[in-house]
Formats: sequence, C-alpha cells, structure tokens
Amino acid sequence: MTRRFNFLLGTTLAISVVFLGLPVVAIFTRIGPGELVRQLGTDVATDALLLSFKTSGIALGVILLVGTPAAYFLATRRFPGRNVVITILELPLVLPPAVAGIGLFAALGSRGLLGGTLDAFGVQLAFTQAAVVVAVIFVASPFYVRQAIASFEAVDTSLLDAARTLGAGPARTFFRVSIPLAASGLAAGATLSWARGLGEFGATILFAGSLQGVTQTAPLAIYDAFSVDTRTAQALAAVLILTSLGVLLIAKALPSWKNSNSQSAYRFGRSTSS
Amino acid sequence: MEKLELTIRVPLRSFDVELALDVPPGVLALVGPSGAGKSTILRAIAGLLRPSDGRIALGPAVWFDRQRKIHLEPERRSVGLVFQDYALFPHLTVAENVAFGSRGPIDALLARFKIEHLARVRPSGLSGGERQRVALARALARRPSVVLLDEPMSALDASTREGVRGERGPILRSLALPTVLVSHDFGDAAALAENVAVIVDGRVVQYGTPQELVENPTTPFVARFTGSNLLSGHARRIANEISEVILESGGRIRIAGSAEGRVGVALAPWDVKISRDLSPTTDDNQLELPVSSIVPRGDRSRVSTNVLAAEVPTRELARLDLRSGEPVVMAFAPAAARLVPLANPGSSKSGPRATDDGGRDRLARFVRPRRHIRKE
Repeated sequence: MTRRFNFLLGTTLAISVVFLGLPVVAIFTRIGPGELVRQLGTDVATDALLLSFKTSGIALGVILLVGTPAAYFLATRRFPGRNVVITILELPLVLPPAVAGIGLFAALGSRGLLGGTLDAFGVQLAFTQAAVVVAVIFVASPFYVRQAIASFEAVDTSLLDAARTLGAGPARTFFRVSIPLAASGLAAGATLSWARGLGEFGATILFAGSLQGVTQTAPLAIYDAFSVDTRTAQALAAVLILTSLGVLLIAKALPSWKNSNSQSAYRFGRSTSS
Repeated sequence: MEKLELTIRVPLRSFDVELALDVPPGVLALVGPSGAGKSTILRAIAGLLRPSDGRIALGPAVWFDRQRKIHLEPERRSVGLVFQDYALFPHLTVAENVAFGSRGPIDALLARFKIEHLARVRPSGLSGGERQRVALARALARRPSVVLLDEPMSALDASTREGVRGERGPILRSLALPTVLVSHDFGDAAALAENVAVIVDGRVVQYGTPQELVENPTTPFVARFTGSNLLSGHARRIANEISEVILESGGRIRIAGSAEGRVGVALAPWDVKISRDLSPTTDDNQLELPVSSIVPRGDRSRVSTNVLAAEVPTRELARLDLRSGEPVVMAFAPAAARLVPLANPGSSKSGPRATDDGGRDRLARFVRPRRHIRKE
C-alpha cells in the first residue's frame, strides 16, 4: 500500500517537473549558443534587452524607495482601514495585466483622469518610456510590498522597543534595526518584483505601445518577432530564461538572520506559486 | 541622587493598573503572579506605552504628565531597560550591541561584565547567562538614571540562576540608581531587591523589605507567595492575646493575638518542626498528618502534607526515616503563626502609600492612602 502510494506521489511530481521544465529545455534545444549570440546582435534584440533592463531597473528603484517605508508603516501600525489599504496595494497581483494597462490609460492617458493635470505640467506619459516604467511599477510593486510587510512584521517588536530605550529615534531604529533584520526578506521581495517587471507585457503594450528603441521591451519584442522571425524570438526568450533563473537562484541563496525572519525563504517559495 | 516618582493608571483588558510609588536609589522589586501588570509598569516608565492618567518624573525631569500633556519618547528618557528575553540585536556582535546606545568607549563595561572575550560573537552564539550580562551591559552603556529589569532571571535555567542571583545583587546595588525589577519569583526578588512591592491585578497589595513580607504577610496571597503555609479556620479569643482557631482542614490550634471569626494563619515552613510521635509535654501546636511528598534541596529538605509544609535539615529527616503516606507530627509554637485577614475586600484595593506631595492631590482620585491592616 505504502509503495503504491509513494509511486503515485512520485508520478505526479514527475509529471509536474516535465510539464514545467520542458518548454524551457525546448527553447535551448532549438537554438545553439552560436545562433543565440548572432540573433542577440540584431538591433531589435539589443534595443529590447537594454530597454527592458533600464526600465525595470528604474521601476525597481522607485518601488524600493516608496514601497519600503510604506510597507514598514503597514507592518508596525494598526489603524482602521488597514486591511482595505493592503488590499488596494495587492490588487495588481490579481488584476489581468491588460486591465491594468487600460486602467493606467484611463487614469494617466492624455484624456484620462489626471491627463489634464499632467498636460498642464507639459507631461505626456502614454506611449513614452516613462509609461513603460509606470506600467512596470504598477504591476510589479505588490510583489515587493507584500514581502516587505511580512519581513518587517517578522522582526521581533521587542528589538524595536530595545532600540528606542537605547536612545535611537524612530528613524535610526528603522535604519539600524528594522532594515538589517528584514534585509533578506526585502531582497527576496525585490528580486521577485524585478523579475515580474522584466516580464511585464499586457499593461505595457496597452499603455506604452511597442515602439522599437522607445517602449519595446524584451517581451514585446518577442511577441513582435514571433510572427516574423521565430529565431530572434527564441534568442530573446533564452536570455530572459537565463536572467529569471539567475534571479531565482539569488533569491534562494540569500542568507536570513536567525530569530527574526528565518522563514523568509519559505515565504518566498510560497509567493512564487501564488 | 534623584528619586523616581510614579503615579500611573493604565487600563488593561480585565483591570486597570493603578499605582503610586516612589523609587529612591536602590533596588525595588515588583513581584506578583503572571499577568498582574508588572511589565506594563516598566513599559510605562520606559515610555513604550502611554498611561491613561498620572505622572512620571525623575527628580525635576518630568517624563509623563497627563494634565500637562507631557509624554517623552523612550529615546529621550534616561532609562536602561533589560528585556525579559534580553532583546539583543541578532545582526550585531556583542560589542556592537553594547555600543548601540553608548556615546563613549565600552571597553570598561565589557570588562566589568566579563564579556570582553565575546566582543565579536553574535547573540546566537551566547549562553543564557552571557546573554543576560550583555543585555545588562548594553542597558548601562547609555549611563541611564533609572534601571528597569523585566524578569531578568526567567530565561535562565535553575542551575545558573542561583549563581547569577549572587552576582547581580551587588552590581545593581552599586549603581545607586532607582532600579525597578519585575519578577514572578519571590526568591529572585528577595535576593536582588531591598524593597518589594507585591502587585496583584494592577495594584500594590503589600510593600516592604523581603524580610517584612515573609514575617508579616498582610494578605493570603502574600503569605503563599513568600512561601508561607496558609491555614484557614474560625478563630475565638480564649485569653488575653491568645486565640484558638478551629481549622477548616480539621484540628484546632492556638495562636498569639486576638481574633474572632474566619481568619487565615500564615506559618513559615522553617518554623514547623517534625517528629514521629505526639509529645505530651509541649505547649506547641501539634497536627498529625500523612506525608504527601519529601523534596531534598541540599542540606534542607521540604516535607509536605496536604495542610502544612515543613523545611527541616536533611540530616534530621534521615534520622526520622519518613516515607510518603506515613503519618508525621508537625508542630509549631503559637507565637510563630501570624494572623492574616481573610476575605477582606478592602485590603486588595489599597495603594502602597499616600503621596505626600500636596501638589498632586488630583491623584487622590485613584490612589488611596495606605491602610494599616497588620494585626500583631
């Protein structure tokens, strides 16, 4: 009985691994290293990759800068409506990216909710590189903020109290105690968020368009190239796979401090599947 | 040296913490059962929570005053707080932990607490006793004017505890600072503190030196807490300053003092003598009871029955050759027993002392003057 059950478990695991791993392997079997390098030398590919890394990098910077204090606020304070606020911040997780794109267009497009205001300041957002960054921030930030809230919540509050009684004000406590103790969790959230931003497609194509060298990120270039030249599409896909794999390995290898947020690796593993 | 003046009310879930205490330089222990509000008091002094009413001041420096809307943030109060689980920063070394709140060099402090050799070690590599020394050094590195210790012994195992008690007492006393320590263990409190305030449900039920509490418990709780036996029964005055008590557990005893009605009788275990047989020629009270347990602790042993416990030299116990379940005679002098008022609802409400500061009369709302409920 035990053997049969173990066999059943093993079979489902094998199916999962093959199903999830096969597409990744397939891309590399159909494109050799030489071909990969040659395809990446094309203007379309280099433009798209550089643009992707640039926009997702800027987006990550903004997410860290704004998301970290916001997450700390949510993790350390209880107030009425807190759950509503958290739900709003998590909404992009479940929103179809295309819906996010339309939403951004309706809010920030030239005829959108804030379009007039932005116009008055001479800012045209839609179909610019800034729009790519905005779309990526919108879609990727919940991945970071969620993890950051959990990481800050996992820091023992008596350590924060201890810092205060030792003469550290709230800001020094934040930088000297909370940030270092939540660091591995924050880094895991940041890598996840960045990976999600790098793969952003739906919101970007609707809000920023797909102009080579201006708003065409790697996923958009893959889509464009797919109907013309599948080999370029596969080369780009291969690069994104390697990048994603690297990100995943980095996130898993991050050290975690004992006692404070040692479960961050587990949280990370869980949130990838959600 | 400044005196810490404390008059606070903090509402908790099922009761309010209400107390008025003056803490002169020296060690005061707040003792009481878990959940009595002891840690709340420390947090209020440190500024980690804001009382709903009252005033906290150290000499001329006012830390909290509800009426004048003063509430200093924790970092602006000169306190050194040692947390129950020590709350050492796990990402910092011992030296970095101690230096966290310090403005000067810390070498002398590390040496004083014998932790120089651990300077580069992280807290996860320390033993319980070492952690406690680091926590104490870190709290003192800020040169605080008030020292607070929350259950400083509870994270230590029994074997290190005894030694640590002996080491810490002199250090705390040598600081000559108002020091408040919280403990649920009377033994820890007695070893470390000069004065003890017994706190039950947020109020001080008795205040005195450890010796005074043992000798004259004013409530059944204090009697049990300090390790005394507590018998209850009905008292009847039979002569001048002599009363007879018919025990609820059976039997009758004579005690010094005048009492009528239902009373408690507190009796220190070391005042109880044991023997095999009843003595016909003694004035002592004698109760013959079956032994329920015998627990040796070094050269003293504790012999318990379901009514009384006696603490006797282990050597004497060996001579008697007692066994569990066998009857033993427990005897004590009438003068060794102390009367404790039972079911006295007023006694648990009284604060430890009236504030003699006339300017604080508004506090009389929730601080009642000390009641003298001792009966000699």
